[in-house]
Amino acid sequence: MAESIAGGAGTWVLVTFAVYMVVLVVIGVYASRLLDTVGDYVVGGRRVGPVVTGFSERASEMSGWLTLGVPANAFGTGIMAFYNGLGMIPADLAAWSGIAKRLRKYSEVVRAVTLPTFFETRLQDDTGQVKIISSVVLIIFEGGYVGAQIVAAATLLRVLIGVEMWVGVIVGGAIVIGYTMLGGYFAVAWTDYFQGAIILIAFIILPVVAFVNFGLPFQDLAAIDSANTSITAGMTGWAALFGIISYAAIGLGVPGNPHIMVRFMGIDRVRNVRKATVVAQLFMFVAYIGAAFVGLYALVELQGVAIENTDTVMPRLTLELLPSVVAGVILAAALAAMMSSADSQLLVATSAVVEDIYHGFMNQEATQEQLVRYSRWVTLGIGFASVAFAYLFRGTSIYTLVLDYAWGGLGAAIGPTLIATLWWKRFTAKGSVASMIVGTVTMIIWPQWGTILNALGTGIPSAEASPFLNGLLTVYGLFPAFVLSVVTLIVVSLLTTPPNQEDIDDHFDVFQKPLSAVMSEDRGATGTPDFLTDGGTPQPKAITEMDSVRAHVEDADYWEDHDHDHGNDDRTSE
Amino acid sequence: MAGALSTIDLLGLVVPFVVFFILLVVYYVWEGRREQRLRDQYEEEMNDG
Repeated sequence: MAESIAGGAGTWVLVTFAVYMVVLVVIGVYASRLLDTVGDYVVGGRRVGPVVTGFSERASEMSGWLTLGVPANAFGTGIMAFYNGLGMIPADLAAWSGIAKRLRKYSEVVRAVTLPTFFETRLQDDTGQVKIISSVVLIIFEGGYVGAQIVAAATLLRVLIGVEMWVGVIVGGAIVIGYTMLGGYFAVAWTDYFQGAIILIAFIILPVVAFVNFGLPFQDLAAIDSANTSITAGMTGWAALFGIISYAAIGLGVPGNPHIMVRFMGIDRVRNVRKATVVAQLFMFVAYIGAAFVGLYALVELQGVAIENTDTVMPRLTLELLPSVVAGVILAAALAAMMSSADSQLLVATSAVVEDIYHGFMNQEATQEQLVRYSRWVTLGIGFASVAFAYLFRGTSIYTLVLDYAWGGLGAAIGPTLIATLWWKRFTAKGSVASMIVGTVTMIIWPQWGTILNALGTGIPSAEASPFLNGLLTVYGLFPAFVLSVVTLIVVSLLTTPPNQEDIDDHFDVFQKPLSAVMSEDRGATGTPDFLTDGGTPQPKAITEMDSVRAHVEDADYWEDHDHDHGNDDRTSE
Repeated sequence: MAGALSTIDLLGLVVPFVVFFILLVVYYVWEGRREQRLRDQYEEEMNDG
């Protein structure tokens, strides 16, 4: 029965799916033309408040990984997949409590919008190495992220209309690139918010409906395979330990992923951070537990069905259990969320090339028109590269694609540098460069140990022959990559000359002040610091996603309105 | 109910999430107090200054 679903979604599913997409485009077009009062648009803005801020931070995770990858992981692993939240939830809390406010204040002090520019200025690096290396890291791994989203979109299209994966990759890639080229910010904060909400609700109602139909899944799971109800997936000893470390290590990626950090840089009212944290955290509890249950119930429901691609289990269960119209809305929201995530990631990679490398090094006198024109070409170029990546890796699971080729690389390379810039005064530019290189190389090599050692004729030692070595070489690469990156950062920093400590002391003093004390100077007519709308250069432009948002904020007189409505206290209170 | 799960599996499943939830509550209370303290200090400084 379920097998016939592939390519055979009912008419009402497809109609609802198509209507949703059309409505989204119409809203986007109208929003981009008519929204002058962009209070609605702003992440953490006046009307959207901390709920949307928290949702937005988490909705950036509502990519193919959470919607399709985690259920697929649960389908293959059993209850151990609940541990996808083991590292992510506390790491996200740590980021909100230890990074968000500091990054927001410090990015104001050093007057930078993109992460590479922030690193360069904070580390007083006049060689340009920090900016170049961090930009290259962003280009590689954000490109990988876009590729993974395209594979996820292709998977969804395959389930719905039965197209071959390569066709889905081409169509999905065309949609992502077209969407970004058309302006990117069609999906404004509110539509992102609703899509995140729809998927979150799906992760609540799907397990509830399944529970009503089947009861708790654990008996059935145990009957299929006892490992399904083992918290270590049946592993013992070193294998179990490294298995748990692998899941926990996923959280190490949080501070290195710019699409999360950029939300922190966009905070306007520090007072809201606490509420936004709670929203983001509750979102994660529901999403990770719900997504794992979806995979487990799929395992029960789809018994005996040949599943060629486990990434399809979430849409299959949705089609199986929910009414057609509801299923159509959920799957359309999932696709739209993937497009939106891919759009953000493509823009981060584009800004790394155009703003940080081209404008920063090759042509500092570039005009606004040149930058916008080049950014379109670069978007096209990176978009095509991502489609090629997606085509080559279309047989790899979305779960692995994201963790190994995107999330992990950013986490290992960027994460330690980001944390150290905010917490360690002695941190040096050379330490950052060495750490980023070691993190990147380790993250690229670690998942390939099997291939490398097979080529050398030895292969990875079996779990029976050497449980420790087997566990170490097959552990999630972000764990060793992050550790080695941190060790390198500390050692090289201690061996090299630190930046001017007086300046750094002044900067760090800012952490003890309310945001208002930091934001009190150099305001434009609207009250917005000029640099916030121009990416740190004299001429305003709209290249990064956050630049676009901020440009809209300025146009909307948002800050002026806000001051008028609430006074300085509300916005600036610590 | 969850009879197919051993006690260890059940604890392994539930305990981390309960701990995370407690951490969130602790953070919320602690961060609220810290916010209030910094606000008070700032107002005091402004009044003195």
